[in-house]
Parts: sequence; C-alpha cells; structure tokens
Amino acid sequence: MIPSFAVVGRSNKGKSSIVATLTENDRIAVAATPRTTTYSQGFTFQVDEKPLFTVFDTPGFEEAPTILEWLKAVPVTANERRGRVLEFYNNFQGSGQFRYECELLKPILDGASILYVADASHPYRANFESEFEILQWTGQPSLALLNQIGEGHYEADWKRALEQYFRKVLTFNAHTAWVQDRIQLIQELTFLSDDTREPLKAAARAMKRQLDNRLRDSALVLSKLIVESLRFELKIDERESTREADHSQAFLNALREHETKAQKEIAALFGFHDLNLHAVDFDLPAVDQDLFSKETWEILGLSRKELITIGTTSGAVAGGTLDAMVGGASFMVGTGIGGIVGGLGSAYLAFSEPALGGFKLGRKKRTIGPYKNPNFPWVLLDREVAFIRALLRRTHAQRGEFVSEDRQGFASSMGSKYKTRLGFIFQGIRWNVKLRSFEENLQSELTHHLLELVDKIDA
Amino acid sequence: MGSDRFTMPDLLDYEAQIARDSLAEPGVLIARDRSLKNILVPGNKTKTLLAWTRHFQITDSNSAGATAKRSYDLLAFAAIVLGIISGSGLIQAMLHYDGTQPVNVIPLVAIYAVLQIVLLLNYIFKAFVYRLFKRIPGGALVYLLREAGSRWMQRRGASLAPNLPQKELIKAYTRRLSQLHRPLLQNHAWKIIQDFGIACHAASLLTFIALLFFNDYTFGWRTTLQLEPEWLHQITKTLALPFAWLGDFASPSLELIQKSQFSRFQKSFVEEGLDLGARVTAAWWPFLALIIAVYGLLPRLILWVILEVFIKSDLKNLNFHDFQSAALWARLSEEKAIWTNDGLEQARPPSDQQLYKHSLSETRNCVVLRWRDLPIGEALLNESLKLRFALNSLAFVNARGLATDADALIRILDKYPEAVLIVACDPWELPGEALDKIRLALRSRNKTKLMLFAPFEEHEGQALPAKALNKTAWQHAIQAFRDPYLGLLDAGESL
Repeated sequence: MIPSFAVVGRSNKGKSSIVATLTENDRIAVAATPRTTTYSQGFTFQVDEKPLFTVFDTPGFEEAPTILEWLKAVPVTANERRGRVLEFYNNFQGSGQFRYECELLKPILDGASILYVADASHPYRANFESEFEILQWTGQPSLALLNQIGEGHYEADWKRALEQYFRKVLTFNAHTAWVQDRIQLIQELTFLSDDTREPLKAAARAMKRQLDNRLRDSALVLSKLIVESLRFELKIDERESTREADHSQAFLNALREHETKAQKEIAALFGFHDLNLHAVDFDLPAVDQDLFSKETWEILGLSRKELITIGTTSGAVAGGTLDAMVGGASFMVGTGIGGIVGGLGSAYLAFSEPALGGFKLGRKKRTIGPYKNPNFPWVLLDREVAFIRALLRRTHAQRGEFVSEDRQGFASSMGSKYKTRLGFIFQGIRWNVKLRSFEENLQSELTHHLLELVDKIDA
Repeated sequence: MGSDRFTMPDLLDYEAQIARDSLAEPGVLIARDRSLKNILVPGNKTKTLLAWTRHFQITDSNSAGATAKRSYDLLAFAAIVLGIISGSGLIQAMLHYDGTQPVNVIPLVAIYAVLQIVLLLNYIFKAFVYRLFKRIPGGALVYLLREAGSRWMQRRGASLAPNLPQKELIKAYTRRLSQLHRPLLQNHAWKIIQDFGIACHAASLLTFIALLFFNDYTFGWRTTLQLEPEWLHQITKTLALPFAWLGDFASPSLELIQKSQFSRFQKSFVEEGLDLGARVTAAWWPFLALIIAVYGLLPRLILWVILEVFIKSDLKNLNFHDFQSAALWARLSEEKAIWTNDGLEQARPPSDQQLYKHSLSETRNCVVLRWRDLPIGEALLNESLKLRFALNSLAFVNARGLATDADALIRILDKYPEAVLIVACDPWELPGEALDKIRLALRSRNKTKLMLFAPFEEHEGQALPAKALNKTAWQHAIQAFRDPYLGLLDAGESL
C-alpha cells in the first residue's frame, strides 16, 4: 500500500486550496463558502505509472464537539480509542447524520496520515480542540499545516496549541507556496512514518526533475515562438480590404495569436489548464499591455544603444567568420565592414518605425512581414520569461487575476556576453541561414536561462 | 518494417505524423505520447522515434511512406524502361548505316564520353563540393532561386487547391521535408536519374554489341573542324587511358585514325587507293564499346552505389534536433510524473434563494446565542447591540456546537416568543451543519422566527460588528439553507 495523507480541518480553512496547490490542479473547486467539498477524493502522484503517494481532499469538520461527546459517552482506554472511532464511522456512515465527518474519517480509518489544516490568520479558539482530539483518537500519524487565508497573524497561538496534538507543525501558505515549497513539504512528510520515507523521497526527486523538464519544454516552446514570429509572413487578399492599416492589424493579430498559443502550451506544461490568458494582468507596468503597445516596447526588450551594440557585434562576428575563412588574407576587412553594416542597420531599424513591407503575390494578393524591428525578439523574450516566472510563482489554488511580480525586463538584466550571443542567434534566424543550428542554439540558450530563473526565484 | 534503422518510408511517415501533430492540440499530444511509454528505448532517441513511427504505421497501411515508396519504385521502373528504350534507340540511331558512308565515330565519342564527363563533373561539383564545404560558389544565388522556386510552388499548390481540407497539413509536410531532408530527397532524385543512366548505357552497350554481330559496320571519322588525325589520336589516347591497359585493341592507333578519316565530298576515305575493308575500320569498335562502358555505364554504377551509401548514411545519421522532434522526444522520454484522480467534484452554484427583506422595526427584543467560544462577554455584546442596532438583549445562551445546544436555546426562546434570535459569532465562523441543527430545532417550533447572524470582533474593549467581512461568502452560506427568515446583522442593515 502506498502512503496516503488526508488533508482535514474545519470547514472553509483552505483544505482544498492546499490540495490544489500540492497536486497542481487548478480544477479543484476552491471557494470562500463552506462545504465546497462534500466527499473525500484522492489524488495520486505517479511516476511512470508507478503510484508513490495519495493526497485526499476531504470535507470539513462540522459537528466535532457533538461527535467527541458521542465518542466519550462510553469510557474507553487509549488502545480502544481507534476502535471507538471506527464504531462511530460504522454507526453513522450512510445514515445522513455526520456525513461530512464520516467522509473525512474514511481515508484516515483506511490508513491515511493526517494533515490538519488551520487558518493562522484567525485567532485560536478552544472549540477546535474537539477536532484535534477526534483525530488523535484515530491513532494515525499527524502533522498540522498553518495556512494563511486572511491578513491576521496568530501563528504563535496556533503553534502552541497544535504542538500538543500533532507531531509537527509547519507553515504552508497555499496561495504563495511555489514548487520548491511543495517539494519541501513532501520531504517534511517523510518523518511521519518509516514506510513513507522512500516513496516520498522518490516523489520529491521526481518533482525536481519535473520542474527541470517543464523549463526545458518551455524553452522549446519559447524558441519555437521566437523563430516562427521572426520569420512570420502573412498573405493578404486585397479583395477583402485595401486599407494598409487593416493589413498591418491582421499581421499583428496573427503574431498575438502565436504568442497566446505558446503561452497556453507553456501554462499546460505547468498544469494550468483553466488560466484565462485574456485576463493576464502583469504587475510589470508594460506587460499588462498588448504585445505591440507603445508602453510594452518602451519598458521591455533592449535599449536602442544596446540594440546597436549587439547589431555591431553580430555584424563584426559574421564578417570575422569570413576573414577567418580566407585565413586573414582580407586583413580583417570583413570584420570592419560587418560591424559597420550591422551597427548602421540596427541603428536605422531601432530609430525608425520599420514598415512591415512585403511583396506582391498577384494582382490582388500580397505577403507582409516578417516584422523587422530588432527589438521584437527581445520584447517577445521578456514577455514570455515574465509569463514563465509568474507561472512559477502562481499556485494552483489561486483563482482570478494572473499577476507577475517582475519589475524589470529579463533581457536588459542579462550579461553582455549572453546578449551578444542571443542577438547573433536572432539575426541568424532572421536571415534564415543554417536554420537548424540556430534553432538548436536558441533552444539550448533559453533552456540555460530558464533553468537559472528557478535559482533566482529561490534566492 | 523490421529494420532497426529509419528507412525512407519510415522517415516520410515520421514527418507526415509530425506534420499532423503540428496542427493538433498540445494537451492531446501529451496524453497520447504518454500512453506510448512501452515504445521508449532509453537513451536512444532515433530508435524510440522509429518505434513511435511504426506504432502509427500499423494503424495506417496506406501511409505516406508506403505510398511514396510505391510511387518511387514505379518511377524508378519507368526510368529504367525509358533508359533501355532511349539507350537502345540512341545507339541504333548513331550506328545508322546505309552502306554508302561509314559510321562517324565522332558523335559517338562526344555523347558517350565527353558529355558523360561533363555531366559527371557537374555532379561532382554540385554534390561533393557542396557536401565537403556545405556551400558552392554562387550558393547564395542558387539558394535564392531555390527558395523562390519553393515558395512559388507552395503558393501555386495552395491556390490550385484553396479548399483542400488538408492544405495546411500538406504545407507543413512539404516545409519540413524541404527544410530538414533536402539532401536526402535530392539524392533519391539523383538515384532515379542514375537508374535511367545505367539502363540507358547498358542498353546502348548491349545493343551496340548485338548490332556488331548482325551487321557489317564500317567506321570512319569526319568533322567540319580542321582536326588533324594526330589531334584526334591524342584525344582518343587520353580517353582510352582508363582502359588502355587491356591491350592495343582498346585504343585506336594513329594509323587507324589516319586511314579511317572520311571525306564527304569524295564519298571515300581520305587516303584514296587504300583498300580499307571492314576488318580495318571495324577496329574502332572495341574502343567505342569501352567508351560506352567506362564513361557511360561505369560512372553511373559508381554514382548509384555512392548515392545509396549517402542515402543510407543520411538515414543512419538523422539527429532529429528540430523543435517538433525535440518536443516529441521530451514527451516520450521524460519521466511521466503526474497527479491522477477519479474525477473532480464540481463546485456547486450558489443558491438562487431570494432573501427575505427583514424589518427590525417589528421588535426590538432579542435572545443572543454566543456561538463557539466567541470571546466577547455578555455585557459588551449587550451594549453593542443596544447602541448600534437598538436591540434589547433579553437573554444569552452559550453554544459550543453540542447536540444539547438546541434544547437549551429552545427553552429560552419559548420564554420570549416575540424576540429575534441573534447568533453572535466570530466573523470567520460561517454557519454550517451544527448551526443548521439549531435552525431546524427552531423551525420545528416557529417557522418564521427571525434568526440573524451577527459577526463581532472585539476592539479596544468594545464589541464591534466585524469590519473586514466577506459578505459574498456569508450571503452564499446563508442562502445555502434556503430559509427566508435567516439574515446577516451587519452594521445596521440586514440582507
């Protein structure tokens, strides 16, 4: 039998939020009203189809004092207490009376360890003790989690009380616990019993690997988005509209759709299925704006100076490659010319509003794109990295607005070496030369940066 | 099927499936590929992707690969048949002999040696030089022309079949093939050309030998150019270098060349008076046969083998580093750590029960139920109810949620039948099952007794109605009882 844990507590104290966060399931009903959960439901963590442990979401305690009164109505010794709880369960199960307590006790009587959830934002009250006692009577290993739903802070009172009934008391905020906190909690659970140690350790290791895999897969999606967006062209039928503005709008809308599709893919990688991407609201002033809004472009991406520097360097590197190919016989002319052309080209594009351009396909058709602005890939990169960071910080218990706490674009904070390298890759992708190797390079660069992101969040 | 390496049909099927996947939802792909764990060859991407491809081939007997293979085989067969016909026809045309003028060897040498050398050099230049240096001089121009051609083809294809439901799929497929496997496809095309070439030259050679048997040919040479026999001898000697070691017969002697020069005007060989019988002029044939074999047939055979090696090597060295393949490999190889459950309980929609609009003007008396250890004393509550709600507290009952709570409360309420019941509680103590039991006990006595929840908090020695109250949650919690005589006493107003 695999280890199992029943998340129990008073109604409306965040049990489902904790389960949603732990099991990365944004479809678990989480609501501020009581009795949202009416029966126990198990969530099993599997690695390659091998189940490692189960977490049960349970309904809340409703009538604990009455039940404790019932349990104590017959004097029993400590070794008979579990039997008495079982008797209670057998008596009332299916009767309609104490149905929530029967549901919550079911997994515990089947052998689940107890994770008692208390809301530390409310003051401690003695009436909770009947719940502690009932759980104590079951004889199962138990641990208390202090959740933080509201603004108040009463951890100390709660800790003093809970420590008398539970083997360990941990603080776990279902709305802020990101993946490392979840892994930490799983590791903490190993102390509950020897039997749980190995499967939980394996689960924690798998969760760490899963995070790396998700970031790698995100880098793949992000690389694909950048490559496709940089090379994107749209065929326009001028019979439908001859207005230039309509064509530009259609082109930009198609790029926006690319971005939304990629964001959905990335969100799905992190187990967010019901994220409303149209309601994305980043705290970063620019990112709550549209991909092509003026504000976005002013704050994200690189400055004109940086763009010109990178353009010059990329051109010089390209020219230098030619010099190297002729064994230096060109007296570094390639490097010089490449640098000048790259720098001037970047300066022109950075200071102008590059037209979408395009070419005629026929009398009534034309192709527009690709988008030439040198800052475009950087802005795109910044937005998606901010999106991934926000996903990493978001828990599956959170509902509503999707908020990024980023205050600065990612690209501008990169080292100049990385900037130059990425700039060179972006240029290679634009020019469509040796496409495969540039795609691979971009993917590995982004994987490297995204894996580093985790360490920064941790710090 | 069966080989543990990618064959061309496998690759075409793989790309077709990837193209199909590019139009599918990512979630569907993740679920599908996660269920294919048994095909994973740990650490071996190519073998895993091959097994993945073959998994789909089983269910698709008319796959793109199988269709392409059939078409390719048919094309190769057609090329061979065409080669045989054209090779045989060409040599027959070249050996046309009406008995008045000898067969001119110059065109034979030009077509079966010089042209073949030019074609061979062209191929070496295009294929080998490109393969070695990954570029050929003027490559940018070639690239632009090729890209323009490819784009034109795509547009034409799209405009020819605008309503084809699989238009996007075909575009994705051809784009992948042209971007990722162009050399492989080119080598296949070259191989078909070699099939034609081998068939053509083999047929030419065999027909040549057959015609020699059944005819009595006289060979000669003539040209408008002022070509001296010595020059021609030099050329033939050079051309015969690869096979001169076979013997003197393999290379025409200067004497033969001099003797077999033919003049159109005189309708005779240049050196008149000489008795040039078939025996002398026929001495050209071994050289001609060897020219066809060495410059026509042999290079084609060698090229065919080389192309086969290239194709095998390209198929063997497929690295699948493109985005879609990398994503597929990740789906198949990465550890599948997932949370499973048997089905989620759906959140219930809030009750649509309309709340009764209460009027406290009917009575100013109340009985207060202090719910679950509310740490505010009776005096403070009494004062607050009086000051803030103009309510007279007639009695106080403490309830901890025990079964006996309802009885105690009912006894008190029986004493004050006109009084409203105020449930004073902590602001987070939303009413649940325990309070419902009290409510039901109350309703058994009085169906319209007003029961109002009053969340209080203590602040600087005063009992105040809770400020930060989640009114929506309270409203939903009260509505869930579907009792119109329940309400929330909140800063002077009731729901």
